[in-house]
Amino acid sequence: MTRDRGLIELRDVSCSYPLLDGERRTALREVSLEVREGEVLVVLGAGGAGKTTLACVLAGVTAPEAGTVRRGPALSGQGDSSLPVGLVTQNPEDTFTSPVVREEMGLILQNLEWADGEIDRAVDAMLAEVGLGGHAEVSPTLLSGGQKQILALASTLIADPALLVLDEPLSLLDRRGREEVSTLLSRRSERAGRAEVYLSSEVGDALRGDRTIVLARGSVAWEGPSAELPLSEDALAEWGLLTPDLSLLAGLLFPPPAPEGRALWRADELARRL
Amino acid sequence: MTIRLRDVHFTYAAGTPWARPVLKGIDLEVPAGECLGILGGNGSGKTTLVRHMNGLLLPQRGTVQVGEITLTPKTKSSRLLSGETGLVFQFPEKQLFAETVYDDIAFGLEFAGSPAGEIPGRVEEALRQVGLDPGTYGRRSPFSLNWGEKRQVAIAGVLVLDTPRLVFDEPGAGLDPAGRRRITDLMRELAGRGKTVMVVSHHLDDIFRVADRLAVLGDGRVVFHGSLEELCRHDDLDRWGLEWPPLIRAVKAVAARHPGLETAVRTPREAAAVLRPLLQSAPSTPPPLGKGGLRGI
Repeated sequence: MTRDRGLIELRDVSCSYPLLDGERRTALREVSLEVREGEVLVVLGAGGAGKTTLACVLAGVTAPEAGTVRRGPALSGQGDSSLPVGLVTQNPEDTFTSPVVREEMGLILQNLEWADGEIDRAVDAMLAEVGLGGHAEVSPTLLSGGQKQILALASTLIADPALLVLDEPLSLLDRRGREEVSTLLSRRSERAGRAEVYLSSEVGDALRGDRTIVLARGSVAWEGPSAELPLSEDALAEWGLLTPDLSLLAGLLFPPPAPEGRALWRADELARRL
Repeated sequence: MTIRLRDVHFTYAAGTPWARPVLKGIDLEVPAGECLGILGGNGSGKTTLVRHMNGLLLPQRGTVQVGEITLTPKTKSSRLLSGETGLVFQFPEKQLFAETVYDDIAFGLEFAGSPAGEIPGRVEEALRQVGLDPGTYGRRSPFSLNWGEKRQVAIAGVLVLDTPRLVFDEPGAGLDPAGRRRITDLMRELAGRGKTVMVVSHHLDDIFRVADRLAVLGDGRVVFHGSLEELCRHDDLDRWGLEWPPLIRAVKAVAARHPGLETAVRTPREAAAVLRPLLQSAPSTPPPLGKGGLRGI
């Protein structure tokens, strides 16, 4: 797996939405970033920072008003600009369009004009893999919260995307749902070179990737290795974000200049340090 | 006692092949002025339960007493509870409909027949309570606001009715941590003014900061009812599809080696007060950050 090949590149991308009073609300302002093969890029931002618009631009759902988006082989000058991208949103119900689970699962393959027999085989295999076989003929709206998000994710993974864009996919789920979805994500992330962009408003999610970008008021406010993300309450408040409780606790237990007080922690790791 | 539920049962699609029993004998009492946190995994019946507290659903068995009014399966009109309990739905912003923020918030008062002269002042007061300036937001379209602002407007639309009881169903769902903190602070302020507040959430750190007592729902029943200190002495949260917040997880992991530690901590400061005495050695370097996406989270 190589991490130096660009998969998608945004240069000076701006987007805005019309308001009813004739004005426009800017969602993204001259955003430039690159996602490389095989990496997990975390994008942090408060509500209204532009995360969902960025997710839609990355997924090709929204065209930028200004700036350029270059995808896949086009980045290396090979001509074909297509890039299979999967998008999973916070609330999967917003994206369901089919009356039953089986149809929803095969929808992307239908759009890709696979043969019916191939779709059936792929859907059966995926239904069995994610444990939804017994729900194939029910409405997606009757599934539990975790099952709905698993269906949304599996419906995307079935097409084997090279880039998976995850827009706060776990935020509406309880522990069981989060575990189910996280397990599926990690089991299916073995595809060589697949990149993930994980968008979140929880600063602790920077732990999910090597590199983090902070979006604030539609612009890239910070970019760098996740380990170097500023964690002081003042710095994060500037971007509308909150310091995670465990980092605040570490700061109280290990006052400056101790490095522990300025780190992101998992609960079990912090407990082991004590 | 301002709310008393006795043996409340409710089944969706009752009497059909698709019948789904959700509440299977709920007993619960909420004293006036208390802030009760209601916890439970997805599908545990939380939303169905709170919809009984404002009469949106009527019990199919048992009784629901709200103030002086008692609802039973024979009750004909759930509008008896109009003006008694305000309910902030999950994703309440989906119900915004008016052309302006002001009109949206005023609608409930107009519908209830409030004197016209009172309405502007009460709308402005409700906007201020949720942290929005009436001059800036009153004339804007609710559809031009971001998620957090829409949520604040929707909550203002319930607060303006000035009911003695308020139920918040997942008020922080879809909001960023700062937005959730604003709503937690608001609930604390409402409880401080003598309102009875009930809040349903799976963000347990938020709920623990604000609730006086907690009720845990599991399989359609109340499986725990008591304080955070009592809840922390149970280790059953996992069985109910819930997970301790990071602070309590960290303190519980330390307590496994140091029995007797108080694990009911609500803030980093409380956790630090519990853990500081254990720190004996000099700090070392922090562990490496996690790699490889979602693995190990």
